[in-house]
Amino acid sequence: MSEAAAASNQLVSWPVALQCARDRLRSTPVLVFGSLLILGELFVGHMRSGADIFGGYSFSAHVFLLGLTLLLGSALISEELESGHAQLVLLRPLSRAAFFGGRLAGAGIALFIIMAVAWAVGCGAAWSAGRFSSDDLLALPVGFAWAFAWLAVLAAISVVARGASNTFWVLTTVVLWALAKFSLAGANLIAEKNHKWEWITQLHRIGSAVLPYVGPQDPTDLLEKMSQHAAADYGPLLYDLVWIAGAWLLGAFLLSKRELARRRA
Amino acid sequence: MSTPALEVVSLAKQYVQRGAPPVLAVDNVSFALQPGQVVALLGPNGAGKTTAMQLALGLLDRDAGQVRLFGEDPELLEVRRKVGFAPDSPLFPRRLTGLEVLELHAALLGLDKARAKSRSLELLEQLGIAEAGRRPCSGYSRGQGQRLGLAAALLGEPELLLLDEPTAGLDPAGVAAMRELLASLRARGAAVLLNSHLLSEVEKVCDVALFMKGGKLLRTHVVAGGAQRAEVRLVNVEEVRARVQQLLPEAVFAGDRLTIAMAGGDAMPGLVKMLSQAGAEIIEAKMEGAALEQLYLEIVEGKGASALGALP
Repeated sequence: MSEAAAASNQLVSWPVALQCARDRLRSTPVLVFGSLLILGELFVGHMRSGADIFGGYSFSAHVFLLGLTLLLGSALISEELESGHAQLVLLRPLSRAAFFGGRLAGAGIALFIIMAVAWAVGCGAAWSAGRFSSDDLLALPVGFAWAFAWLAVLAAISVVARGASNTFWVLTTVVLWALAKFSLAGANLIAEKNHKWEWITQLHRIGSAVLPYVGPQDPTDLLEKMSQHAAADYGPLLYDLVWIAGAWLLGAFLLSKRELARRRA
Repeated sequence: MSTPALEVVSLAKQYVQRGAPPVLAVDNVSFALQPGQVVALLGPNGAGKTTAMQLALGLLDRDAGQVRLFGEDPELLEVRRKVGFAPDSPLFPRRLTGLEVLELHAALLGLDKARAKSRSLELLEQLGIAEAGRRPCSGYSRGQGQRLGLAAALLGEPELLLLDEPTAGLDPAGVAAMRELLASLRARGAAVLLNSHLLSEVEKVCDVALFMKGGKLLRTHVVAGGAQRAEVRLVNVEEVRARVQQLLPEAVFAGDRLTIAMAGGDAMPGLVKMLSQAGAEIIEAKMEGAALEQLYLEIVEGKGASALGALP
């Protein structure tokens, strides 16, 4: 197989990935949120345990990690398409899928580096407080799978959304999701207490079944179960891997479609 | 004859926009570039020059016609390696330095890390942005961005280079450097297709000029290297007219002025000497606007007849 043919079959362009990681890690908002995440995990590690670093009730995980992921995925593909740099890069012996994979992997590398520092700091704090166990080492890969799944979703949306609006769509979805979840739970409590409005109970049941599947799931309960030597539920983790693969494929497909449509203009 | 670096046959492209009539951006255009040839696309804004270039590269889909790069399909990745493209006003990732951008493009071309860095530094130096190359692209002027785009296009030592408005935003030193660069590319056998509004520069460096307007190729003109027009004002024009016309049959008289196409400014002393020997009293002698400019106005704008009978 020729070198160019091999390049066309690549899933990830590593030169694109490395430059994308470098670019993302120089963004001031990313560095600010990354620093907040690291500080947050220092606190979590010290007060709770290494297993809680990226999950459980950790405020850092739900705010700083999500914020960091949103920033890293913001305009991930669209900024390259809109500036025209993507067209220059795609003139090289490089497929559109490899370009998409490169951008996603690059943002993923930046995410992993920051998470790894936060994890090391958190584990160090847990160890110094005597709350560290070897199972906590899994917090990094499990937490990363969750965040990277969101990043893949952001990347796929960024192919078709203008500028940084992919962040807006994901954030809106997350907020609506949380609102729906808590509103249904609250309404259901009232309905059960009053033994009325059975349809709310039905709606809550349906919502509880459906809502967890809107976007990647938090798999970090797995770590808590492992620390308690209880039966671990690998479902959310596997589900996140499906989201990663699905969003990746969809993003590469959409990029190809968009580029072909632009060429037809 | 060798395989053309770029061959375009009956190329056509129509832009369709919702709520607006379709625009025929390129209409049945054919031309070819041989290795070592520098060809310019000339025409007013909206003539279809950039579209023709993008169609040739496969950046846009053509509605009709054929494009061959080195006799092959332009979609082939092997073929793309031989081609460099510098767009007008390129934008680069804002937080990366010029050097990092070039290293990325070099790596995509398959250069190893050490070679990618040395080649990138060499091009930054050559294009006069060695210092700027170490700063993030966000702080680049238009000219610096233009030079970085050119450096990216030159990375793989392309056999075919397409330059969209390469001198836009460049200072005079940059324009001169561009001229030298094009000469060196021609010397190593690379084919260059450029579009520019700087006719005096085109005239100095190009072998062929393609005049376009309204998407159509109006005329192909072989550029005589550095052709210019000399304009001489005489005191006794009527007295010497017959003698001068005998010596210079292609000279055109208008009032007290005589104009004639010349190969370049170097021929001016010879002309002055010849006129003096013919008894002409010279008030003023100067090199006037490039012959290509005259031709451009005539072909593209339809303004006035050329006074340059000697031109092809």
